[in-house]
Amino acid sequence: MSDLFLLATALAAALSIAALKAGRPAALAAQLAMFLYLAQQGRQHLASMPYIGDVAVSLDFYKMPFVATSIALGLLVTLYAPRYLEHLQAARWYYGVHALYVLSFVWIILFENLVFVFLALELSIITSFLLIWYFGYGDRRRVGLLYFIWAQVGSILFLVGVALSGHFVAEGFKTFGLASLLVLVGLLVKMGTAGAHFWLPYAHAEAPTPLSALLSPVHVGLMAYWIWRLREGAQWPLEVLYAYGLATAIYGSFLVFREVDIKRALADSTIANMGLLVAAAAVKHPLGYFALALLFVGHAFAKAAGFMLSGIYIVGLHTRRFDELRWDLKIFAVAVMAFVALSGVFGINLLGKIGVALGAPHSLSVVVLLIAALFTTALYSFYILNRIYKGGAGEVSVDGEMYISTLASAVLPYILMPVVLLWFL
Amino acid sequence: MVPLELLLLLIAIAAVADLFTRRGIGAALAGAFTTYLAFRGELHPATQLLRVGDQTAQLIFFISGVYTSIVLYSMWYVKDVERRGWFWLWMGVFYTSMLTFVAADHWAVLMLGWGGLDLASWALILTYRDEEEAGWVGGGEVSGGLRWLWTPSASALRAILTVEVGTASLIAGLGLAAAQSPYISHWHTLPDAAAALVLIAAFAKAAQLPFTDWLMTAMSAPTPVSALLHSSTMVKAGPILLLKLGGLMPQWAGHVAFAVGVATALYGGLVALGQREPKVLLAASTASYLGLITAFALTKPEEAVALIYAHGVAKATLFMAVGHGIHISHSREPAAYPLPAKVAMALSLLTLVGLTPLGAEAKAHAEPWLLIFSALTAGYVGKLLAKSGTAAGGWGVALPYLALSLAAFAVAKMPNFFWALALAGLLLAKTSEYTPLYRRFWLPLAYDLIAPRLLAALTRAVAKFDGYVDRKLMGLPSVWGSLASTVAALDKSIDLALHGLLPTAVKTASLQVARRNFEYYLYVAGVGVGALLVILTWLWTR
Repeated sequence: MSDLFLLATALAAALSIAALKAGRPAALAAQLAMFLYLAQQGRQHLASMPYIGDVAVSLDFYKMPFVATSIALGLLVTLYAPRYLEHLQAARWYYGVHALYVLSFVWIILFENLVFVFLALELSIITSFLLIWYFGYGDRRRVGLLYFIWAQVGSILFLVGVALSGHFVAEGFKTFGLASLLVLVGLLVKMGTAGAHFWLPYAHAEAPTPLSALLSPVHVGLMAYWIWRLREGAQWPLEVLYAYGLATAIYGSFLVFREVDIKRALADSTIANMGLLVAAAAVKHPLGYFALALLFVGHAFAKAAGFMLSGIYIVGLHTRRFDELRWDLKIFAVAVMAFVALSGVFGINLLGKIGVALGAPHSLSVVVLLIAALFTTALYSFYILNRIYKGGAGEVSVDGEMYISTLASAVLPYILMPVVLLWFL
Repeated sequence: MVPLELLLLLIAIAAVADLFTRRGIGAALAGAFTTYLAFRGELHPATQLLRVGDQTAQLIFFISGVYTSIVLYSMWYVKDVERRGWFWLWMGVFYTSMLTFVAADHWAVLMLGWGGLDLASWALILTYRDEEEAGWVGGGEVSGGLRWLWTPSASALRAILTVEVGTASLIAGLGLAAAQSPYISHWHTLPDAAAALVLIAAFAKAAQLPFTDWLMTAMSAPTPVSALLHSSTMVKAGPILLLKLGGLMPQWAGHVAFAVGVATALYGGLVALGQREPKVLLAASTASYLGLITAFALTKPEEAVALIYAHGVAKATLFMAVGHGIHISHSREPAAYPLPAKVAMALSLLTLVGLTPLGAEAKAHAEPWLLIFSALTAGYVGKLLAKSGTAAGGWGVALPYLALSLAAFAVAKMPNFFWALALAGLLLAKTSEYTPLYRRFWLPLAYDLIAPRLLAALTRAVAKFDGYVDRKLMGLPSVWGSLASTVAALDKSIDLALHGLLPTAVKTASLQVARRNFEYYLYVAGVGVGALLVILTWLWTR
């Protein structure tokens, strides 16, 4: 397996670097090569290093949804990007940085040594920062810096927490007190949950849309895996974390209503969905993992479709303001599928939501929070959908590749439903 | 034999096919085939996810039969509707979801069916464009600060948001119960909190007070949708949920369901009497009957089931008959109905008050006080009949609903003619639309004025708070800048002190020393000390 890991890494990294020059074909090849990671199973020791101990990678049943979704969405976004990048007049090296960004997602999950997880986080921050800095909207350099600083604060707190714990390997990770708190706060800052979310609407809304379609759906959500993974050893108060996640979902949902811009609304909604993911990661029931995985995958595809749709508007209508949006049949179909999935009224997101309910303690206040969180996350989705619908019918010119990838992303939360039902059996 | 799971998958595929063919052939085949299988008792699940007992099989037969007749009728009704593909897709999803919900034993599958019903009803209410008058509800007048006009998008939004309150409650409630086992048949008595949440869910779905009003504005959907939504799917899911969980609910839940159900029955009956739009009248009537079904779902489940069948057959017929008039007159308030529509309405009235065999089945154990609701029924259905003329219209179109209305004679039960007293209610048909009844006791104000304002206030508060903290954080760079300037100033002063002030002070001190000829005095002192040392050394060595 080690050979497979090294082969996948060599191929993906080399092709990503080649994509800096060669552009999209090399980036596509790099991400296809990343599927080799999925062929490996189990844990593989790579090296032993002084002080930080064993460096290993692993891919198990629990990691699979996170890794597979990251690569699949990376590919879909690469298919989506050309017309958009043409609109942005972006250079070809965009694709190379994009491929490295996707590679960092895979490494964030695959590495078992937390220092290496930190390094993968750094790669993800640097690559995404570069893309915001050069290709973002509005005051992009200020927003880029804002993002960079917050992301670094999160990563560094995580690293300091890990260092203080003295346990660098995820397996058997054990800590308490300040170290445990720092690890958690670091991960929450990177997720953008309530109180640590102020950077998120700026970064996710002003990033170039193909980046937003990964930043919001995948990047921040991956931290939830590590919360779930480290929760036993870190001895976090899971009931408190569960309630905090639900409160974040409510708070983030309310933020959506202040927006007049679809990208900002989507960015705010990510705060809400990160809240649900935190709550799912804190579910003590054995099926809690399913809630986490389903909400991650469902949110990733649905939110990516939402962002891709906003990109279609930017390119086709040159606007992202709700009151200027229009829809035709093909746009409406995508919007319905994306926002219904996001709402959790149907699709795997609904299954994820019911998994979150399994964690509800028999406490009235938390049950009320849970109902409010489930309701408000559905409410904001239908609100956005209604805003789009009220824009009225009108033709929206859309590039074929952009549309197909958006459609594929929107439809996946439903296609995956039978697979999940088979899981239940 | 087709496993039920596969059948559901095929029905869903047929719905997707109908999206593209826009003809509803898939829906008709799916409905007819499932009715046939249910009739033959050949609905068997292949997995534990579903469970089909006798009552479930009967319900599936009933749902499929009503669905098939509505589908056949819809082929005529929606042939000119612009969004036909959309309509047929969601009709199929509606049907699949209802069957899934009814047959589910795994709580996640039950929730998928439940959620699918929410979604399909939202989508079907959106069938007409906002500009199409056929999709409006209300006359557009202003009362209580509210304009009484709901377009399809407004109706769809208030429907999904109202029922989502129930769905969120159900997820939470069943989550509390499902911690032990995912299979409902393995559950024990529900904890009180879970039972309360299940009740809220059932009330929201069945349009029970205070969740009633979404059902009235759901009339923005084409009439066949109303026929389906009010007869065998969606709202019926509320009491069916209570029937499914009946054995698990604590005793007090039966009393609550009874109280809320009877209150809604009265509210719906009175509101129906005050309506001008026939579809809204029938919607209020549905709320009323769903009230009765809900009231008995936990305390007298057999009576509730019988009422589900009788009301379902009658209400689907009534909607299709009214729709016949709407379609040929192109008006939401037709002045006349074709003769077959009137015949079907009259038959449905007889079923509802218990004077056909199926109606008699529903009234078999009914207590006399229920006569008041039957009288109200006679009043508002009588209004439909009495306040309209008879128009020319095809009998062919009427076949699906006439056939369905005749299903009321498919059981062998003699009516109890005590219930004929209800026909005295026909006198109410001549009453005018009393304002509080017409305004639905101003319940819409709660949904269209109070709730939106509350939401707007909350949103403003959250946005203001968030903006304030954001601005403060954005101000942090200037705080950082001030801190950096202070550090730089301190650094500069130390630098100055070390490399400017100190050397200057040393130099000045040195100059002062030089100016005072210290070296001369030191020389003299040194010579003196030296001489003293010589003398002392000499004295010591002596």
